[in-house]
Amino acid sequence: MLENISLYFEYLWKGIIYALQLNPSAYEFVITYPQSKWVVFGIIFLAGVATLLGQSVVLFLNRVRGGRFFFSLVVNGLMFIISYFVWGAIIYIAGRFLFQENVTFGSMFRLVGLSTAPLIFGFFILIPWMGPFLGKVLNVWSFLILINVVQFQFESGFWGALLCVGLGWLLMNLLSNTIGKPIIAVRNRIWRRVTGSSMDATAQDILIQFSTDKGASTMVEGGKQ
Amino acid sequence: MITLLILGAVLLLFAAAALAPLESLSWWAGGGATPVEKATLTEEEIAKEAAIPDADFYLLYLSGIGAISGTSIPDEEYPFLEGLAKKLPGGKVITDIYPYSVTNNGLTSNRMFSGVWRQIEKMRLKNPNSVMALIVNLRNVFQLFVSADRRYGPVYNLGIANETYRGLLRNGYRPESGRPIVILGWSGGGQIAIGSVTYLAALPGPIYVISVGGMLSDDVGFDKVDHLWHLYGTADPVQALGGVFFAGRWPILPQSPWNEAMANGKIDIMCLGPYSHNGKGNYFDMNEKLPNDKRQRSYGEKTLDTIAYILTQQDVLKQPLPLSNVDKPVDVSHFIDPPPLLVGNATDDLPSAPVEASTTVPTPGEADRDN
Repeated sequence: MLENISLYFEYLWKGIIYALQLNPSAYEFVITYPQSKWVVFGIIFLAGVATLLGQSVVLFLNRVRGGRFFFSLVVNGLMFIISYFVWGAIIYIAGRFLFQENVTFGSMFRLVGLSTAPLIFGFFILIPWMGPFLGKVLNVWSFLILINVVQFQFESGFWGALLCVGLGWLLMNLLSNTIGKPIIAVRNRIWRRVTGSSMDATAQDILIQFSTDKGASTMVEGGKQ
Repeated sequence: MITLLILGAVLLLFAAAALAPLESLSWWAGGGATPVEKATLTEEEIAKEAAIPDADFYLLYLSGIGAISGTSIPDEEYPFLEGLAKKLPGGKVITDIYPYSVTNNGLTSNRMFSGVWRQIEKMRLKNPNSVMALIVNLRNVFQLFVSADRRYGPVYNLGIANETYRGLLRNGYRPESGRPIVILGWSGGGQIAIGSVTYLAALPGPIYVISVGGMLSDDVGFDKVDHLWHLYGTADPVQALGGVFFAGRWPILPQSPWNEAMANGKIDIMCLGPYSHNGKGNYFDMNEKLPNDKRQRSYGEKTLDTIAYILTQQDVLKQPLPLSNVDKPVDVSHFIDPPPLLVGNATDDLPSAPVEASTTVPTPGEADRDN
């Protein structure tokens, strides 16, 4: 049992490193071995957790604490897996449509999942001042891996892969604004249930609330009590 | 091996930076920002406050990134602060605010790693240039960026404003008196001063900021401040970094709070001379004499004179020293911004005779108030 767990983490580590390096042997591996889906699930889950951790200012501002905070991170990891499942399906459809290649959905999903590897560093988005910039760098890195895996899977060349991902992006937007709306509503409801907050307070709201006359006078009155 | 060590050090630095906002965010998430609770004084404090007569104005000093707590700041600043109190008769100088903690909790106070910080403080007392002392600077510079970050600033600056307000009350400030508040921010304290103004500006009476070599961002506090004076030295590249790091200070963004405040004449940028940020010839140096100064003053004395001059001109300092003792500094606010990363000895740039200020500084009554 312990040996299996240790082996799993070894594969997970290698999967992350190879994906970060855009190493084709990682793509070969996940295409060849269907059971590599567990490694890919691990990568996507960690990316989801790290990304929310990087953007956890929204949790803190809404005063989500303790167990709910950690539960929110886990739920975001799971939501990430579902989101990339859908994203993988869309890329699969777009790729099949564009290139007429006979690939399986499973291998496409696993390859697309590898593209989330850079987001494991999403925790660094927390860094003041340069965090948002780092977040953009990670997204570009992830995008480059995605282009690379599509190129690899469909043997399409860079521009073909770019077209495929672009088409996928359009499809994703179309679906999100049509049949995807009820699904998004369910997702938001789950999110609210988990965090126990409507999650609508932003840093800007706090600023406005406390810098208005009402907020400031409360501060002053408080001092005189 | 060396590559791995460098990579490890970079990752450690990134991790430390990523953890920097958590202190203020946890404070907020824990309900610590409830204004009524945070700004409430104890009975003892209220009794003490009632016994203190009103000052003409209240000047809060926010130290630079070398500060360990509200009462432990770099040695060079103490003679300067003593001089400040002497130069500003009628004013109340408050120095016990630690601007790098939303709860005014110094690093050596009640904290998880306070023991470590105490050791570092001891080392610094023995050797001010100790490498370990840089850890304090690094920790505090992260807090400076937390204050300047639009995601965290509203929370961080609220905490500092609350503690600043408490500090004012402890020292006899009564909001109904409408007495002017001046925040003197040195280096990182300059940014935190303008950040806290966002909230403090709602108090009656004018609020001013004097930044001494401050690394200022394009904080939303510029919308609220009555006036800001930024004093800088030509051999101080650190203060110029604010104009490089923060895009809102670039001229290509005219709608940013900084650029709007500049356009509205709320900011005066004043060159003091060949001052450096640290070491010999810094803003607080009370020993080293200025080159070519008619009165043979030290660097620190000229900084004090300039502050006194600003406050006299602003009619904040009601009992000014004779003006003959005060040099008028060069006002270069019409030059938009100090040149970024300007270094070197600018002795030749010093005026041989006082130069009149080129812009009209608003009096408290004329100053715009945005609330």
